[in-house]
Amino acid sequence: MAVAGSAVGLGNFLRFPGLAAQYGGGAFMLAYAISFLIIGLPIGWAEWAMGRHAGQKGYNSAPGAFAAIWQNRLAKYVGIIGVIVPVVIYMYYVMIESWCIGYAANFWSGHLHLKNAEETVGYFAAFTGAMADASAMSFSLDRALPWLLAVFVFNFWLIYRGLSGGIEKMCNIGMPLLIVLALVVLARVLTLGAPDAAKPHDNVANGLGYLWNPTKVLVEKTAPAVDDKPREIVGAKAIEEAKAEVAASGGVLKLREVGVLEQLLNPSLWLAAAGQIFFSLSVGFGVIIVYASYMKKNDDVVLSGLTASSANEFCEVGLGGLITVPAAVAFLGVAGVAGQAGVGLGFKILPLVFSKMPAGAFFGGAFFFMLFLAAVTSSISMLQPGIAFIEEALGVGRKASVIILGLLTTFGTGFVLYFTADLKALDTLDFWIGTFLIFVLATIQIIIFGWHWGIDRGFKELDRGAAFRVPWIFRPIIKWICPGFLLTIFALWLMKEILGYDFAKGQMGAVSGYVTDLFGEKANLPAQLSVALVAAIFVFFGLMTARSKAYARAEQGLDKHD
Amino acid sequence: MPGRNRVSTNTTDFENIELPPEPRTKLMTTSGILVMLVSVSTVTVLFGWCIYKVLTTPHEAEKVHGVEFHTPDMTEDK
Repeated sequence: MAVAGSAVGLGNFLRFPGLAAQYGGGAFMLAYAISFLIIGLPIGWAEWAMGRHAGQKGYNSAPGAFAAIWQNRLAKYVGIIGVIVPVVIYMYYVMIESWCIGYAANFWSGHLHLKNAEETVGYFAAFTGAMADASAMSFSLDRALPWLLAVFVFNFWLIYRGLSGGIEKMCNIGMPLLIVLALVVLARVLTLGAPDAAKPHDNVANGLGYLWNPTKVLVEKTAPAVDDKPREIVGAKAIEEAKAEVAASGGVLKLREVGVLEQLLNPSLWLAAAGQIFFSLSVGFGVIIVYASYMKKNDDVVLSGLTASSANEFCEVGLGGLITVPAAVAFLGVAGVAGQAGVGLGFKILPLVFSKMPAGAFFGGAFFFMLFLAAVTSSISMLQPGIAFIEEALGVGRKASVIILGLLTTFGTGFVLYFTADLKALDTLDFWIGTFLIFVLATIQIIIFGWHWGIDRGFKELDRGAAFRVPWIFRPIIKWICPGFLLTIFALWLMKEILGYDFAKGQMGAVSGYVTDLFGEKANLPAQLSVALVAAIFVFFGLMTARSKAYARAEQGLDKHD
Repeated sequence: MPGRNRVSTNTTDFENIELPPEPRTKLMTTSGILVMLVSVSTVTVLFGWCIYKVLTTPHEAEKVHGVEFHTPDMTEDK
């Protein structure tokens, strides 16, 4: 239960539905399932095995583990990515954590009486400060600031006092309760029907179709401009109406069925699906490698990895996706949901579900409180890689390390809290760190495991102490398919999003908004500062790494305490 | 879902109001249902199997770990 509890986090209930909605459902789910089998699971196992091996040599941080295994001068610097990722993600994850406890408290105190989508969207924007920069920095219970301060101090108090074992025990009870609550909410969502009788197309059944149907039907312009986006249609009646609309448009509009293969040709979809697998399984995150380093020589890394992954997938696919996306279509309609990105979707939709439930305020408060508990365990786990790194790099004790990391993350979280307009800083960091850099680290890890360490040695390490042997099919997957798959997606993504090549049309098209935010006429200052912040942290950690005696020993193949 | 589009069950008040059209949607396609059933049942069975394996393999519960917060460096620093 501890393994399952530690695996569940906000990514399951909030981030995953936002991505599934953004990329339109069915094809995303297929890409997601394939990514789980051929990259999430094998890279997770590789990370567990490499972490346990590094721990036997006395290294507990990602730079130490990389240096001990790769034994190359570059290894420790590459390992810094495994510190940057959890530390920077913590800076915005703790914000979302504070939204959860804020929503829970406001539900229980009776301040959350939201009756329609306009009200929930408005409340979310005001609470998080999405309307304007610094607008959440007010000491009101309807704003994020007081909750963020409380959560931030709470996390570091637990870590500094060494009390985080207590929260772990609390979660052993809290996480099964979260699953039970999620099942209750799921039952309510699946019986919602069409909440607004005036909008019969906006119903849960169409929401399930939107999430799971692999083929899409789109209404689009016959000669679209660069910024024109197609509109997805779900349901036979809606398609009939769209046909009439197209016929009346005089050739301006057309109806097009997009097969699953065409959707799967979009490299951004694969990057998002793989990124979500990595994010929610904490693979390529720098977290598993650190916690695995504390395991004993004959502990079971294979079943540990599989149990954590399967618990996570059960909550994500079986609960998180089935609740939020169908409910979102029921309340916002397909047009309102399409293109909705980020974790905000759950905060905008779930209050409406609770408003349709008996004792909705109680259930709403309980659900967001359990999400908060799940988030606390995840955020604490994100701090340990940074703590272990500072201990090892500077040779200081845990409390000194916690203070240094506390100062750094206070600055970073303050930055995210200030630049809240359109949640730009949060969204930028989530893409470049929470998707892109995780993808890069995971790719490097599997290449080190499969090619530098070698499949035979890697599987010998995996099999030691395991309740079952990793099936042989994962040998070619780890050696060939997984790195080939990751490198191909990466190359296609670079061509599409950075160079602007449109694969569907075979010509140059639009460059990703995450790129135009950084360069050129559409450059956005908070986005630029977000990337500059990450670069500054990289330099800071790089200087610490360069001076570390422990990492110099690791490079030479020596144990830390030899 | 018959009657889902009705504004009220009190027909005397609303009998003259033109109701919105019945949503005769086909909802999910067959392939959509298939993708959903395979995905949800696979993760559920996998999770169940892992629990079964941990509980039925001798001493396995002591050898399986997740992210556990009491790390050895906490004790060393005290």
